[in-house]
Amino acid sequence: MIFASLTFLYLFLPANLLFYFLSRRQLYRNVLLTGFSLFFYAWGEPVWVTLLIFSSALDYLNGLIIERHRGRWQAKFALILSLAVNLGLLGLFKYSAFLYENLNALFGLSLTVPTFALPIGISFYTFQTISYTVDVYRDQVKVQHSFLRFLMFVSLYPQLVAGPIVRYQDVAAEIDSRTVSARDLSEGMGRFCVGLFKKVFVANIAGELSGPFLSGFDQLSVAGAWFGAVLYTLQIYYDFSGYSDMAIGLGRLFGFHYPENFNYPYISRTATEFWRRWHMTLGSFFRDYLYIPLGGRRRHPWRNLFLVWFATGFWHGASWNFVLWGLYYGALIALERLFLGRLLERLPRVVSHLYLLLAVVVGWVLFYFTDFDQLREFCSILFGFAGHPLWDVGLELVLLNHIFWLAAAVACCMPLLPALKRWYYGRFGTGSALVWQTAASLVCLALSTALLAGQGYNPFLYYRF
Amino acid sequence: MEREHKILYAISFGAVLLVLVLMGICSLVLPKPTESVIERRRLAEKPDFTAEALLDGSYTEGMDLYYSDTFPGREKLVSLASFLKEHLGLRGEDDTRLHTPTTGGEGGGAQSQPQASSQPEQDLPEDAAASSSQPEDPGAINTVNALLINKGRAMQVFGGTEASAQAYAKILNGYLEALGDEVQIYNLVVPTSTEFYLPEKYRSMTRSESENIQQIYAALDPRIKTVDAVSLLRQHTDEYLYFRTDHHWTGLAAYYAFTRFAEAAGFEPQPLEAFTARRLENFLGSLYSQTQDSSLAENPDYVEYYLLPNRYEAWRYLPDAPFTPFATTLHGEYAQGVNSYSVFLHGDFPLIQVKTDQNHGRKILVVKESYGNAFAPFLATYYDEVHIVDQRYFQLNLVDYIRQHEIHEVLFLNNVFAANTPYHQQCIANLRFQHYVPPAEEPEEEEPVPGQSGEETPAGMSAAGDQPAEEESQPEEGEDALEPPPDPEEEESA
Repeated sequence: MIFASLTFLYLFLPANLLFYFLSRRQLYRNVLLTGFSLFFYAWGEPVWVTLLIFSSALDYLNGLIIERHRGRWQAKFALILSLAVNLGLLGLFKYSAFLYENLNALFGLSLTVPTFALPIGISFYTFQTISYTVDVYRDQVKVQHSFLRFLMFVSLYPQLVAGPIVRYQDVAAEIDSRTVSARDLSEGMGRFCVGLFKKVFVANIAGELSGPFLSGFDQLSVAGAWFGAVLYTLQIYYDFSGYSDMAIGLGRLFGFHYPENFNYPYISRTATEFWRRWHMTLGSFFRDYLYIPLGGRRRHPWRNLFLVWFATGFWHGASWNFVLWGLYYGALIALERLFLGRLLERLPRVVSHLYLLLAVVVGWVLFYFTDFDQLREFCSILFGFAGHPLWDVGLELVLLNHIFWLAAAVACCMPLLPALKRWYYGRFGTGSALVWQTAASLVCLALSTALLAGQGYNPFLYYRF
Repeated sequence: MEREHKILYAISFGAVLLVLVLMGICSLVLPKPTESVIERRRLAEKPDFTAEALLDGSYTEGMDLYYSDTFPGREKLVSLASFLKEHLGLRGEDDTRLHTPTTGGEGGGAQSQPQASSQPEQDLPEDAAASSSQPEDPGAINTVNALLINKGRAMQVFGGTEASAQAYAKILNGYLEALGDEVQIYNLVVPTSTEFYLPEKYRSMTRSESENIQQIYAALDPRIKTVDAVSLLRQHTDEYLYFRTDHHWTGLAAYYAFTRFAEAAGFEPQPLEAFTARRLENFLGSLYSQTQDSSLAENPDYVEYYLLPNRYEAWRYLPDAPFTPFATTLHGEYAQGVNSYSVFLHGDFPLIQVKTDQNHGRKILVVKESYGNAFAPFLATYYDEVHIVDQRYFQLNLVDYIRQHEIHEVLFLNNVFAANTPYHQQCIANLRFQHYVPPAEEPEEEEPVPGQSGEETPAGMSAAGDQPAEEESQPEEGEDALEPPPDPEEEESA
């Protein structure tokens, strides 16, 4: 099931909320939430929901073993088992086809390429369970003795399929005992509606508009190519951050406080800063569970940097362009560490902002084209090597027809709304602000519903990962 | 103070939850619609529950589609969405807007996603004559990329290529062999309004329809006579040749094309004054349904149709019943609203046979899509017999049919989009080879087609009688007698 669907909005969510608040005891609530979560997952993945349960059971047991045999070989064994099985499953489902194709191409073999469908969210939940066993091994969190609670942690539908990557330690206390305040409910619901609106009103429309500019290259102008790339830049940010908003908002409705995942990444001034603001839970995951264990900046810093960015790219999809995209950021960050960062620091702010925006837009082009021939062709148009015209009337029309929407979408990449909200709360008080917030939520909901109603087909972008 | 806030917080959450719950209850309790009039399609049905469907994911997918298709107030919500999309920016001094079809929007990477089945099909048949057993029209989207709305007129952006033009010509050339020398083949490819009304500034956004038509004509065997409608229509562009809100041409444009055809076929066409012109007002057609653009709604079309000066009788055949004639007329004057274009021939039927009071010893068969509907009636002013075949729904073998009825003239008439669309090309190609296989289950002959069926024997027509029917004797437009009797199937579903 996906959040941006009428089935979720008007059947699943209200039913879930009503049952949840009607049951008073923590145990019932946990059972209910786990049941709804598994139903949510099975709706989109009726077969591989078994894999989710298997993965949870395994890491639940690994946690118990590590606790009982702390400091002995059994604990180490359980940790290695957890890593091997989780990464093995990820490799099997996500990367085996890629591996076989490359082996075939490299050695002229004709191995049958396996055709596993990627189970939804596997990239996210395997990382969550890995973080649990590693943290238990490091004695940074207490072991969860209740399988129900552990299953609830892994399967919780708000963040199950597309993040944020919630570590067990982030929510350990809330899994055992949580309370929901009226403020949590109000702000959680508001956050959810805003996230939904970002996804449906901005990301989906950007996706529709960018289509013609990112395919069928014969009639594409240089400006059209840039426009397509910028639209995709908007789309992917609003899509993913909208999803994180929905996840965080839904979490609060049930008393969970998830870590933030986006912090206005496009206002960054360096690639290093960008990655502290973009998909923050992924960046910190790789930092804590890969970069630092490898030695961080103390031992082999360049090797570590390369490995982390290779992994980051590869995590996003089983295709070389994602690897290229990851290494591209690795290279930028390396350059910034060497000299570029200090240089940008000294130049006027506008230069560093432009540098980052250009880097990001070009980055998303690498990310978008899984086919290298298309990527090459698109880039040659983008940088004016293909002899295409600079401008075309179709672009002019699309620009003009969407000028308000475009201006708002670009403006909201900056932290304008939070500033406005703070100012309003300070000036007019919580009461008045809440009235507006409720009205805004309802408007977001109504418009999103309208846009969803005519659209039987609405796949979520991040399902591929 | 804190306490007061707590209540406010609760109210703010409760208001949204209340909306979710109430809409949810409505969606479960209210009766579910089964078709959408404005989109001219059947809505998704509840999927059957089977273990396989559950495991392969198609059951839940079907449920999602069924739920969103039948959501309460869906049509109003879709209108709101159209309004919203229309007002995301400005239309410029020349009042122009580019409408791109919703494609799901996000074929991440280079994967292209299949068109949503909830899309209104571009070239959906006007009536329910296309029952669910008929093939879908997936090819139509290949040539329709976008719509350009300029000063109250919607135009389709044409994407046909030289390759698709040649593919069409090749199929027609195939009929030369199949039909032999005794049959004269004509071909008429009709341009759309884009050819004449797209402002110069936006020409570069579309491929040229007239060039494409020339490419088709050039690739045809010279024994096939081609009819050049483009040059004549170009002389009359200040007249009402195309609907602004619908993808069809008008009866007037069809008449002009008919005069060109008469030249090619070597007879003198009746002057337009000889016909009785009538009009259906307030027509907002398919392009309006698709875009719901306000500038189109402000300026609705009308459908002018021309009753024949001579007498004729006609029979039509329904899908899956190619041997069961129903008496009919050439104009369904009860047509209204979004379906007004079905005033021509009552819409799309697999076959319509016309016997006229003419005595020139000539018979013609026309193979057409819906553009042919406005054109075909004119043929009945000259030919003794006119056989009107819809390439999408005709189920008999066309070559056998032509021989059996001793027809010596065949006209292929397509609009330039259809001619370049693989689906239509395939339909035309298949007509030569297909053989009718009766459906296994109970034949549906007795079951009227929803929407337009009740009207089997309009007042003034003797059903399949020997007397030629007189159109003029039909009651005047707007009289109650013209209302088709209620449709049993429609009542059932209501």
